[in-house]
Amino acid sequence: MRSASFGVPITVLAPAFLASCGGPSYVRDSDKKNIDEYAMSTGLDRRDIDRLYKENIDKLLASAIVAQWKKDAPVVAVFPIANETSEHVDSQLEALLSTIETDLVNSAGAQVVDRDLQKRLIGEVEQQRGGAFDPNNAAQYGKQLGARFFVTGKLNDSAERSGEERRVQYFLFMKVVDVETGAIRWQNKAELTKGLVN
Amino acid sequence: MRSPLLVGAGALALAACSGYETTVQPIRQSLERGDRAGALAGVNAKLGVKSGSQRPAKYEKETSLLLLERAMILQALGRYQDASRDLEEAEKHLELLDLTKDTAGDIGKYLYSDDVTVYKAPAYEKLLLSTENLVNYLARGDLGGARVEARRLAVMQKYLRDEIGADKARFGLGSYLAGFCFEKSGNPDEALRFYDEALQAQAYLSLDAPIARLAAISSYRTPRIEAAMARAGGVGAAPLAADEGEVLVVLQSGLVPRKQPERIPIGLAFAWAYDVSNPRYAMSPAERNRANVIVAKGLLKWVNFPSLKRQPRRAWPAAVIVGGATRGLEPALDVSARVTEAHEAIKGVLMVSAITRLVARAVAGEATGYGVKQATGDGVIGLLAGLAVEGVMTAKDTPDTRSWTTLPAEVSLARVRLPVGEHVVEAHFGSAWGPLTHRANATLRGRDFQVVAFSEPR
Repeated sequence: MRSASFGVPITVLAPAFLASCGGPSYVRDSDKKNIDEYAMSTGLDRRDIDRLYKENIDKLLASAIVAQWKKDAPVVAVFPIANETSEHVDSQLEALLSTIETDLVNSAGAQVVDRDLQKRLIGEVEQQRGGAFDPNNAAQYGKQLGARFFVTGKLNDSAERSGEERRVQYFLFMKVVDVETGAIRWQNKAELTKGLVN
Repeated sequence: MRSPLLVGAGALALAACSGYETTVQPIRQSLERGDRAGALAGVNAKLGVKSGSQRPAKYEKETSLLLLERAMILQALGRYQDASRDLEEAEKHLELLDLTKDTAGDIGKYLYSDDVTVYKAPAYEKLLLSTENLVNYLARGDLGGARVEARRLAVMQKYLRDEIGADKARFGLGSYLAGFCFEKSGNPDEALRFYDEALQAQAYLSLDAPIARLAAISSYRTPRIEAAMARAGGVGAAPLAADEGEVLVVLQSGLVPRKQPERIPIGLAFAWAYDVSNPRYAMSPAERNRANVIVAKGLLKWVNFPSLKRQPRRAWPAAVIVGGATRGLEPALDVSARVTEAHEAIKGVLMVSAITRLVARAVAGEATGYGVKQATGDGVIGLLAGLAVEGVMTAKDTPDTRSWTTLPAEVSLARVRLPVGEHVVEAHFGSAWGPLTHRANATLRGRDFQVVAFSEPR
C-alpha cells in the first residue's frame, strides 16, 4: 500500500489524469469482427455455451442410443438444464434448450415434445409449488407427455477467488434417461474455465 | 517552466473533483424525507439515465457505487428485478476494480487524495451485496436465482475467511437467507450447513423449529444444530402440515452511518496514525521525523479526514402483524455496527495515508520552488510556484468518503407459520415522524413460502 516515496514529480502524474476522454459507442458483430471473441465476465457467453454444448452434442449424436433413435424415431422430451453454479446464467441455459431441440429433430431422428405443451403440463403438475420444474419429478412428466426418453442436464461450477484473481470452472453434464426404467442411457461431461486475472 | 505548466494542466483535469458525500447528499436527503421517487430520480440523474430501468451508458469513477445506491432505492420501491440487475452489474464492476493494480491511483493518493484510487469495497459491503440480492430473489419467489446468490455468498465468505479471518467473513443474515432458500428448494443438507453458519454469527431462535424439521431428513449435525433441535423439542418436532406454509418477513430500517470530511487536530491525527502497529502500513521513523519537522514549522494544524457520521435513529422496526396477531420480531443484522467496526479498523491506516500526503505536498512545494528558482534565477517566482503547487494539491485533498450509503441501519426478521390462503402482512416502524405502516398480501398454497420485504430507509 505504501510504496510511493515523497516528492514524486507531479509532472509524471498529469498525463495519467488527462487521458481517456473518449466515450463508448454501440456496435454490431459485422462492425467489430472480434466482439464475440473476448470474455466480458466470468459468466457464460454464447461462445462458451457453444463450446460446452458442441462437445456434448457431438458425443450424443455419435452414440449408440441416437443410432437406435434414427431407426425408431421415439418421442423425446427436453427438460431444463439445472443451473447449480454461482453465476446467473439461467437465460443462457434456457436458450440452449431450443438448440438441443433443433439438433434432436434434425440430426438425431427423434420426435421432440413441443416445449409449450411441456411447460403447461409441468405447470399443472407443480401447481402447488408455483409451477416450477422439479428435476425429481422428471420421469413423471415424461410419462404424462408420452415420451420414451428425456434429455436433461446440469451445469456445475467450482468457483474460487483469491486476492489476485477469480476463477470459475464450469462442468456441463448432459444425459439421456429412459422414462420407463429411469436408467441413464447416455451421459457426458464437458468442461470450461473462465477467469478474471491480472 | 515545464513542471508548473503540467501541474496546472493536471490541476485543471482534477478541478471538478468533489467528495462522494456531495454526490449522494441529495439522494439521502430525499430518502430521509420519505421521497423514494425523488431519490430514484436523483440517482438516475447522477448516472446520466432517465429511468430506473436504464443502465448507464458508460462507467465513471462513482458509477458502481451509484448502482448499489440505486439498487437499494429500487428494492424499497418493490422493484426487485431492477434491483437485482443493478446489484449484479455493480458487483461485476467492483470485482474488476478489486483485482485492479491501481498504480496511478496508488501514487495519486500520496499526493492528492485517497479518493483518486479505484473503489475497493470493504468486506461488509461485499457480503451485503449478495445478502440484499438474496432478498430481491426471494421476494419474487425465484429460488433458482436465490440459490445462485447463496453460492456467490459462500464463495465470497471463503475468500474473506482466507484473506481477513473467519470472524469478519461471518454474516448471519446472509447465511440465514441462503439456508432458507435451500430449505425451500428441498436441499436439507445445504440448508442446515447455511443455518449452522448463521448460528455461528448470532443466535436466531426462529431457526429452532426449521432446523428440527430439516434434521429429520438430513444427517448434518453440529453442536449448534443439536442445541437448536433440543430447544425445538427434538428431531422432526413441529412439522409443517400439508395445509400450512411459511411467511418470512424482512424489515429493513434506517440508513447506515456515512463518511464525511472532518478536520482532525494534528495531535489527535498523530495519535491515530502512531497507533498503527502493522509495519506494512505504519509510518517509518524517517516519515515521523519529517512530519514532526513540518508540524514544528507551524505549517500543519489539522488533517482533512473521512470521519463516520453517526445518524440519529430516524426509523426502527416496531412490530409485524399477520392475520391480526402480533408476531415475534428478531434482530437479524446490525449493519451500522458492521460499518462502524470496519471504519474503526482502518481509521489509523487512513490517517497514516492522510499525514503522508500532507508531507508529500510540502516536499513537492519545496522541490518546485527550488526548481523554478534554479531555472529563472528568481527566488520570489520560485516561492510562488512552490506555494501554487502545494495549494493545488491541498485543494485536491478530498477525503475518501466513498461507501454504500443507502444500506439499512438494521435488519429484522419475523418467521410465521400460517394456514394456506391469503394473508395480510403489516409492518410497523417507529420513526422520528411518528408510526409508519406498510402492508402487503401473502398467498400460501400449502407447504409453500413467501418472503415479504419492507423497507423504511430514513
